[in-house]
Amino acid sequence: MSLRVEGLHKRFGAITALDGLDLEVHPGEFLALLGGSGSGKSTLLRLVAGFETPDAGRIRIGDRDMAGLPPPRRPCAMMFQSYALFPHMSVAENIGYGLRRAGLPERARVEELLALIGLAGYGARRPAQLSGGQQQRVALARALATRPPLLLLDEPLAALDAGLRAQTGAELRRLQRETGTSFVMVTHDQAEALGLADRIALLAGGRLEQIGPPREVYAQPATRFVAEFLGAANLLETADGVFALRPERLRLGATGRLAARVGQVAFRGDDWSVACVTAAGQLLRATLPGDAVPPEPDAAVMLDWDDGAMVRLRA
Amino acid sequence: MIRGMAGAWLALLVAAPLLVVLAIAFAIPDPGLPPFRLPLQAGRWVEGNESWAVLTQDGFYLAALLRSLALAGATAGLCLLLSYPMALGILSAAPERRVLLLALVVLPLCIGFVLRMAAWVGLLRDSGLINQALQALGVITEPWPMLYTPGGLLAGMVHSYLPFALLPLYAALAARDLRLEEAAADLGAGAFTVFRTITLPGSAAAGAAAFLLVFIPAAGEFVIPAILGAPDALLAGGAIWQEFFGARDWPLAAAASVALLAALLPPLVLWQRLERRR
Repeated sequence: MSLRVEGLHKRFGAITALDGLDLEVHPGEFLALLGGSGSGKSTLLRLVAGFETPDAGRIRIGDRDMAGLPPPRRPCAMMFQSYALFPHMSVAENIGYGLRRAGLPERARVEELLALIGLAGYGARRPAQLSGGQQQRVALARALATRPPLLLLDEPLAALDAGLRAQTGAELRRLQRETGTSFVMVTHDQAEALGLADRIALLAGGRLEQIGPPREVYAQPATRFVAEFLGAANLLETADGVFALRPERLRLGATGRLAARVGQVAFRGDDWSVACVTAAGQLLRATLPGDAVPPEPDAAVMLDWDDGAMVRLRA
Repeated sequence: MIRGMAGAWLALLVAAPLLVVLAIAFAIPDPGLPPFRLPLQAGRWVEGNESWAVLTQDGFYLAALLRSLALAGATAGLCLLLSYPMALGILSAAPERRVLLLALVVLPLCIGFVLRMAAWVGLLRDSGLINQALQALGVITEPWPMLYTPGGLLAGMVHSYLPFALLPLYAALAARDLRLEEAAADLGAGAFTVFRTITLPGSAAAGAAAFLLVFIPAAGEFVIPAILGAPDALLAGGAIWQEFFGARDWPLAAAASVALLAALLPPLVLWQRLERRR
């Protein structure tokens, strides 16, 4: 189901969390809300779920305006960062909670979900008896039990350790595809957003900086914030304006457009990070493949790039 | 160190007096001072203690004990029933106003106990404020008897003991995880269902503690019933008081004390069991 947010404002005392946000999520889409802390991304989820009331603006899910609707009457479900599993209920009772509230048959659906998340036979356990990864899957199953058309996920992978994160992320993506549910996932992890989402919405200061498919927002950052937040781009200030230049688009060689001196060279496993200082004193970072032969520190090099690599940024 | 001090404390201030009371309960009444003698003569046991026989066979004491437990149960239950909405109400206020509201709950404790009970007499008696107001409004023509009735007694008991239930419950509810209630609401639970399925089970241990903190002292209460209660409906505390200071039958009073204590132990043990299972 679609989600449309128009002119959303929310203040908490002196702090402006959302400053006129417009956003649209298409039916069946996986949208990542990416931003630093204080960007308003979690506030947006809480407003859509109905836990907070907007100061101004509209929220529509499908063709229904959400104004005045309390959380239990909204068609979306939320998965909390801390999972918020009910500690005094079994895993099966947790997953069946929404079904019981809706008066839907519980047993078969709970069994089905337990199998879906690979926890068949764990129904009688308490949440505290499960590992972090298992708890995460129970929280997901609980949120999906009544087949909500829109699922809000607040940092769903943040509490997992790095090894589990990639695998669980792929699992999320698979479930989203299979159920056709619209997912809105809040994250501060750019790799997570780039790897999982159909589109990425970048938020800063309670406003939308840019929205688009991962490759587009990465290759064509619209603002300085997007360029720096996604992939740490080099920023070149020229008389014509500010340009972003991705480190992996820079080539080091004997010929090129710009003369520079090599500074620090760091090996990072799958690539090299090479800091270059231009004659004008500007620092530009380049990444080279891990199997490349890096230049010696202090060597004089020429930097080169393709014509399309320089992206002009909005002021 | 701490354990040792706790042990010494328990031995000196709990176990020792209890043993003295237990010994008196098996003694023989005597008109002297103290008004009993131990049932030992030349190192041999002497019959003559009738306390336990009186206690079990005379329905008067059993009825007083049951009345006390019923009053304590009703008091603790009502305190708990009032404490939940009060605690949740205070917690829903802005943080800077909570302190003030809590202070208002505790404030009556700063006024002398006897004064508070005298105020209840002034409210409840036939020519009291409540009856005057109701008569002036034309709701009733004859005074409505409230003083020396079970209802009036219960009102005074609940008023006196409410903070002891409210404060532990407030502390537990203040520390609860609000995300759980949000998650329940998000899954389709209305406000009352959230309370019934999440808030109430989550605070059950604190609720049980609050209940017992009122129930145990209320079961032995004798001042409030003496001021507000019906004179013919004697309670355990009053019966013990009467035997000690009126009849000067210390062995019988001590035996009644031990019986009251025995009646209060099972709920305590049950609570401990439940706590350990969590």
